[in-house]
Amino acid sequence: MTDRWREVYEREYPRLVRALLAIGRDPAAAEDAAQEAFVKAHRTGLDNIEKLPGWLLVVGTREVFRRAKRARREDEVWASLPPRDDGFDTTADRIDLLAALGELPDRQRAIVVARYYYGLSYDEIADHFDIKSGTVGATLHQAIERLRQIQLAGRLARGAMR
Amino acid sequence: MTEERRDDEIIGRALSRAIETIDVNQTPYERSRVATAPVRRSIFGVWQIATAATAIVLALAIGSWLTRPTDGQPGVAASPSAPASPISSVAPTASAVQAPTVPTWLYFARDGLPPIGGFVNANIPPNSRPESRIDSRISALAGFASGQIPAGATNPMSLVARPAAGATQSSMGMSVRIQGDLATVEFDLNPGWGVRGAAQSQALLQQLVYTITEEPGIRRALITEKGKPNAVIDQLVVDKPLSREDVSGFTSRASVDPLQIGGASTTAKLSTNYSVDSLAPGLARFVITFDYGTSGATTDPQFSASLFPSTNATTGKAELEITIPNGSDTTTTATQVDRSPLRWIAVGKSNSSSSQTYRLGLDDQRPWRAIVLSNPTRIVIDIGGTPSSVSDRIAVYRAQVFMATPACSTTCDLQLSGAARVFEANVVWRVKDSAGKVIANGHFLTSLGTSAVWGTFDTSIQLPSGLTGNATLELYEASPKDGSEQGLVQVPLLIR
Repeated sequence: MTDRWREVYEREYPRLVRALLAIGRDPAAAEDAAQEAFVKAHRTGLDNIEKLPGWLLVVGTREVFRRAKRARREDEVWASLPPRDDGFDTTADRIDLLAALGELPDRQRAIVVARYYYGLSYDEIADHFDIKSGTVGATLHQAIERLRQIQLAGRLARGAMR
Repeated sequence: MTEERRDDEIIGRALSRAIETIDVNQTPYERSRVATAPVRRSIFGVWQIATAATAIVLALAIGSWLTRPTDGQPGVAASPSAPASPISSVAPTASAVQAPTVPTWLYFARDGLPPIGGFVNANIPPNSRPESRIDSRISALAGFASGQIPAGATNPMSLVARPAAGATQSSMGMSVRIQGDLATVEFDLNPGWGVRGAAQSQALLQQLVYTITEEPGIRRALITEKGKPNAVIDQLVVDKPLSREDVSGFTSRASVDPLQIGGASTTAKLSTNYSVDSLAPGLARFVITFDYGTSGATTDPQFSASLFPSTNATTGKAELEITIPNGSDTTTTATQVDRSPLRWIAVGKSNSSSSQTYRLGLDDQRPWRAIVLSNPTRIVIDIGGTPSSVSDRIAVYRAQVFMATPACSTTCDLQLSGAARVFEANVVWRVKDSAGKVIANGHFLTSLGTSAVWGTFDTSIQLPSGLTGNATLELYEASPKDGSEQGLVQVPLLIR
């Protein structure tokens, strides 16, 4: 029993925290929500959960939003910044992209992370996030389009500063 | 798959990779809540308490890491962790915007120091445009009374009268335009700014420039009055875009040349500590302590440090990066400090080399200095200080008069500490009385002469007896070429 949980925890925890950090932008809240999601899964029982990764993501996301409502800070620092020595532009692009993600509305942010970082299908997203499966594609496209615009603006601004 | 869908996939994958590079704190399974959670639901209440207890233990563990005192390291006081809740829970009284109040980082003035930031609750409409966020922040400032702002700070904006009802754009009658990194804020004020005197005007200007440029991407602010190309705050004429560095009050600019210090790059375990305002007002200190283990190395360490403008993805306007080859710190989480001028501390490790990197998020590019101390080996990064006491080569942190008898009637000692990098480690000093007459002078030595890293001093100066009232201590470097005064700093003294 314990070994099974350890295995699940060690496999799922890091990416869950990363996803929740990308969605909520608060390192402490992401950790807390991830821990909370695991405890809830534990209480529900592994055998009663069909697709655990998606389940954890949805429960964690809800928790992040609940906390964010309580204490919303305007801007949050990302966790440790990635080292810059692998080429400034790539890192800058990554930071831009993460920053752009932060500009999206809560719901779009969560769906984008679920689709592209967790690789959930449209149907799974519709199911988990309680939206019509027909609107998942449109919402995703809209969100990505917005990301592209924000990222492009960032790139232009950086170019202009050089 | 359509072309459009394929494009979306590419961005999606890039985003996925970006998320994967976020460095997270991986709580081991043993310390996870699920490992300690009881199996049955019936003791839910106990579980809740257990979770709370775990959270407290974790918080204490993290807190003690931040605040643990370091032996043999005078001057670095334990820093209280940043307040999680905003300083004030009271919303500004006269706000017209119907939006939820959120903890918002705004700036307030401090006498003789750069502005200090703090989280206060303000109405900032969610997902709003940068222009309206700037407008909302400034409008919010006006509503905070002295009890609601950071201790020791003042709020010059609260003196500015609100225009009569029906003002054009917002409750403060502002219109905000953004072009590139410049925000132009036009005020429509009636009857006027409401501040008097040079000190108040300067304080208001500082507060406005810092608060306006808090918006990501904005580095300069142009403040104008309606129908005019400039603004006149009492006697202070503002007619050009100003950056934070233009108004922070320091006479010297921060060094932006990368600092490369050669030395031993012995493998070492690193730990860090920081303090803000404890050593000197307005001074942030970041200390990296080396543990060489059994190798017992004692030579000066190799490191590099550089200051650069921050990316828009982080808070603050500048970042100071310190890299130590062959160092390693087991910490992987970022620390949100949010005490001006230090906003956050990020810890990074590169995959390709064995160096350890720290990044400090800062309010602005204010003068900073690196000091190397021994036993144990430490790199000390000092940022800021009191502007009048800091130049590009001398920084006074503390000047305290010790009197054996009142008013220095017999002997009088002035205790001085700080840092300097001057020719032959020789700092020249003089004390002037309130009439500007030099009543005492001399010189003392610091631990190091002209070099990239600064030397330190902690010395005592004997003042003449019978000195009372206001006096000024001046310190400078005598130029090796012609003896002229370089890097003059001034410290006001009050003797009574």
